[in-house]
Amino acid sequence: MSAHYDELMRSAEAAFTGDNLTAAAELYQQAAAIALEAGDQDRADHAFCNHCSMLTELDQGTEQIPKLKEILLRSDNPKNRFLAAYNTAVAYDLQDDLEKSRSYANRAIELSESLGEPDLVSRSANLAGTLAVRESRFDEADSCYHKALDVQESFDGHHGIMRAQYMDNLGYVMMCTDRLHDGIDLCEEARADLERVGADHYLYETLQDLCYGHLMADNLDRARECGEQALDLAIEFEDDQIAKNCLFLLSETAVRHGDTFRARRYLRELTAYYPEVGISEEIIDVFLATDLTSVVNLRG
Amino acid sequence: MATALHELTTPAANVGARLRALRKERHLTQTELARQIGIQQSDLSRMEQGEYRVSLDHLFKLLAVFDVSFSDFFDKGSAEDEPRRALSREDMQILHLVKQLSEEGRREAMEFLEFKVRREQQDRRAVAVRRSGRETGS
Repeated sequence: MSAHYDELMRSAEAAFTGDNLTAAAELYQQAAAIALEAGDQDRADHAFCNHCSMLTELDQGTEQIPKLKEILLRSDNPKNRFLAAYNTAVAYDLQDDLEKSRSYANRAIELSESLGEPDLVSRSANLAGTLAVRESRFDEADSCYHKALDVQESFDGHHGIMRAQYMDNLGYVMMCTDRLHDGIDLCEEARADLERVGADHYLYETLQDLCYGHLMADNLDRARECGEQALDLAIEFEDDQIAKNCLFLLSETAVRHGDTFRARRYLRELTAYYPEVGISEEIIDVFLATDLTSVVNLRG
Repeated sequence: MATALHELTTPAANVGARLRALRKERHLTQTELARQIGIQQSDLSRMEQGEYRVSLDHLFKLLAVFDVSFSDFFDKGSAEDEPRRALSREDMQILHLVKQLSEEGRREAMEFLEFKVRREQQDRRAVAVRRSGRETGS
């Protein structure tokens, strides 16, 4: 069992690094099944938690919350308990239940600190930052993301994609807190890293943030370029949230370019995502008449 | 004093103040409105103070709750303290385009605009006549 399990876990890790999250999720699931069949609960739990981690990256996996909670209560393996708490927090975040998400994130932070593994400490700090930024607590998010990035960079063999994500997260917070150019520089660095490893699944959020940053810095051509690229990728990966954000940012870019006709086109596409409100020219006029860039939270 | 004034005039603070005014006009408590748009009451309170950035999804939920009057929220709510909103950015864009035209081009644009205005007035009158005919059963 052990060799087959190890092989599956290695393949899953390679799939994740290669940005094939669906394949990684399936491989972790197979590894969990093999371990369970062999009666190795610890390994089964470990593989199952990684499986959930891939699902949440794909904005799925909320139905696994009960089983993750069971692992958190049952397991005597602290790393598996950390993974269970962490993934439960992320899954609750996906469900927009921020209170429960915060509670499990705090548990994950405690467990990561008692384990003392830098990778886990940085992951839980990043999660705490993500929850803080969703609630517009930017100062708190700034300190969490700084910690995540510092710890991630402090050890050999750090994960390139995660480092890039943390840089992007910190960059966005900086843009929201009057440090526009430092934020843009960090996001550009993240973008270069993600492009180098071909991590398109993570790249489009960085491009969205760069669209916002360049828009605020009045680099309108650059903002449009980043926004259109992010929009194409978000549509390809069926990420509606980022697609909507990009349409909003592109419409504002077009307005500032003086091209209200193009702005209207983007806004019609945006309002189509909200059938309960309907495509109303009046709503579009609200967006055309009002600069909402400093009111909207792209990570909200 | 200067800081307070600056804080009051940030876009987020303006939107927050207008949101608060509109909520009160609708006799909604913070708890009721927060529940309708799916955020915490404390977050709505922070939004009204310009400290909370709202997601696009929540912004559209606000649009749904306030319906058409949401345009008042953005356009007319602070008309007294923000007269520049009398002209929208699209209006300004039209003026900007017209300013770039030659004398002759301006005259042609004016003629075209006047034609469009007359045409729309005629269309509106025709619609009103048709409606009035239906109401009287003729």
